Amino acid sequence: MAKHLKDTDYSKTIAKIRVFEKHMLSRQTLEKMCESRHLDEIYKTLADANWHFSYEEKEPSKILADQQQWVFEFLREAVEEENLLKLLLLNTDYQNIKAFLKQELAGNPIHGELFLEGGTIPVPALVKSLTEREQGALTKRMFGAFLRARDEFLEKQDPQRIDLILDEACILEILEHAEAFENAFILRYLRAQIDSVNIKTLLRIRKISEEPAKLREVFLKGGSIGLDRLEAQLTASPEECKAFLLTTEIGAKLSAQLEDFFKESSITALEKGMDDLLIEQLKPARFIMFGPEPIFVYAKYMENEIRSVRIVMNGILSGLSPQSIRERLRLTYA
Amino acid sequence: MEIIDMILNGTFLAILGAALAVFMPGIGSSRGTGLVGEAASGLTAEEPEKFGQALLLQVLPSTQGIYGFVAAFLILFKTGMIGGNPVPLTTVQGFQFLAASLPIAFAGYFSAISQGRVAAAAIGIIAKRPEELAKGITYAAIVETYAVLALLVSILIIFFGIQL
Repeated sequence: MAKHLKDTDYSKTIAKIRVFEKHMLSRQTLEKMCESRHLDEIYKTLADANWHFSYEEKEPSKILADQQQWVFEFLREAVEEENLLKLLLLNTDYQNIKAFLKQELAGNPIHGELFLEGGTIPVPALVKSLTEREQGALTKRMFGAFLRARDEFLEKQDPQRIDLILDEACILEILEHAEAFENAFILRYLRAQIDSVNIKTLLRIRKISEEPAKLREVFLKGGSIGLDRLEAQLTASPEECKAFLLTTEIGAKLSAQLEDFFKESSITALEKGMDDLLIEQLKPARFIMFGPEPIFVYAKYMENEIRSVRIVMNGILSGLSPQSIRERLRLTYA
Repeated sequence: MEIIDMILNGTFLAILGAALAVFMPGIGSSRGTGLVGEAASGLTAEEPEKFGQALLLQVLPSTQGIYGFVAAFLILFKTGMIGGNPVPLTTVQGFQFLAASLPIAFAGYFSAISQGRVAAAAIGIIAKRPEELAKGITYAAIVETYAVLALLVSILIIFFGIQL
C-alpha cells in the first residue's frame, strides 16, 4: 500500500526549497542573459544563481544536464513518497527510452552518454532491458509502449510515432501515480497539461487541414475535455470552435490569444499563453507551507528554468537577436 | 470495589491532575519543537549562518511544556506533596485539582502543536528574508496567548477555587 505522509513531514524539504527559490532566475535575469554575446557571460550568471555544474566544461548541453541531474538527485533524496517521486522522475525514463529507440533504429551504437541519469530506473538496467527485449526493470506500460513504438515505426517509418506513443504512455503513467497519490493540486495541474496538449493538437490539425482521424490517434486521455467534444470541433466553423474553446477552463483564460489565433491563424502566441498559464497555475503553491505541493512546483519550476536557459543558449549559438530570444521565453517563477 | 475506591481517592485524583498538566503540554511541545526542528535543519543544511534565528523559532513551542510543569508543581505544592506534609484530600477536592489541570493540559497540548506549525512556516520567512524574523515570531507568539490564558486559569483555580 502506498505510504501517505503527513503534510508536516515535508517541512525539512520545503525549508530547503525556500532557500533554493531565492536563487531562481528571474525574468529580468533571463532577459539580461539574452543580451549576452558569449556563453561565458551566461555561465557566470548561472554560477551566481547557484547552478550546479563544472565551470571547466563550458559545453551547453553538459551544463544543462548537470543541473538537471542535480535537481533529480535532490528530489530523490528529499522525496520519501514513492508515487510522488515516480511522477516527478518518470519523464526521464521515457526520454531515455526514446533516445535508445532512435539510436537503435538509426543503426547507431548505444552508448551511455545518450542517456540522462536521474530517472526511476538506473540507466544500465534500462538499457539492458531494452536491448534484451525483456520487461526487466521497466514498468509494464513502459515496456508495452517501447514495443509498440518500435513496431509502428518499422511499419510506418514515421519517427513522430515514437514520440507520440511514448509521450502518451509517459503522461498516463504519471497520471496513474498522481491518482494514487491523491493530491488535488497535482492532479489539477496534470489534467490542465493534458488539456493544453489536446487543444494544441486540435488547433494544429485544423490549421494544416490534416486528416481528422489524426486527432483520435494522438489524443491524450486523462484530461477534462473528452475526445468526442474535441472531435466535433474539427468540422465546426471557426466561430463555433472558438466559442467551444472559450467554455473550457484554459480557453476562458486565453480569450485574447484565441481571438488572435482565429484572426491570424498563428498558433505561437496561443502556445506561449498555454505554457504560461500552466506556470501561473503553480503559483498558489508559494503560499502552501506544508505538504507535497511546494516540492512538485519546485520540480516544475526547475524544469521550466532549465528549458528557458536552453532557449537562451541555443538562441545565442544560432545568432538570434536578443528580442527574438526574449519572445521565445516562457513565464518564470520570479 | 478497591479499584473504584482508589480512583475516587482525592490524593490520587490530584496526582492525576498534576500528571495531566505535565504530559499533555509536554507531548504538544515535543511535537511542536520537533516540527520546527525538522524545518530548521533543512534550512541550516543550506544556510548554517541562520542557526540562531531558526533556534529562536524552535524554542517558541516549548513554553507550553514549561507551563504544564508550573501548574503541576503548584498542585503538588498546594496539596503538600512537596514539603512532605500531604494534606488528606476528599474526592471532591481531588476532582477540583483534576479540573484545575484541564485548561493547561488541553490548551497547552493543542496550542504547542499549532504554534509549531506557525513557527515551522516562519522558517520559510527567514529562508528568504532573514530580516523579517520578528514577523515570524509575532505570528507564532499570538498562538501562545491561549496557553498563557489557560495557565492563568489553572493557577487561579488551584489557589482561589479550591479550599482545603
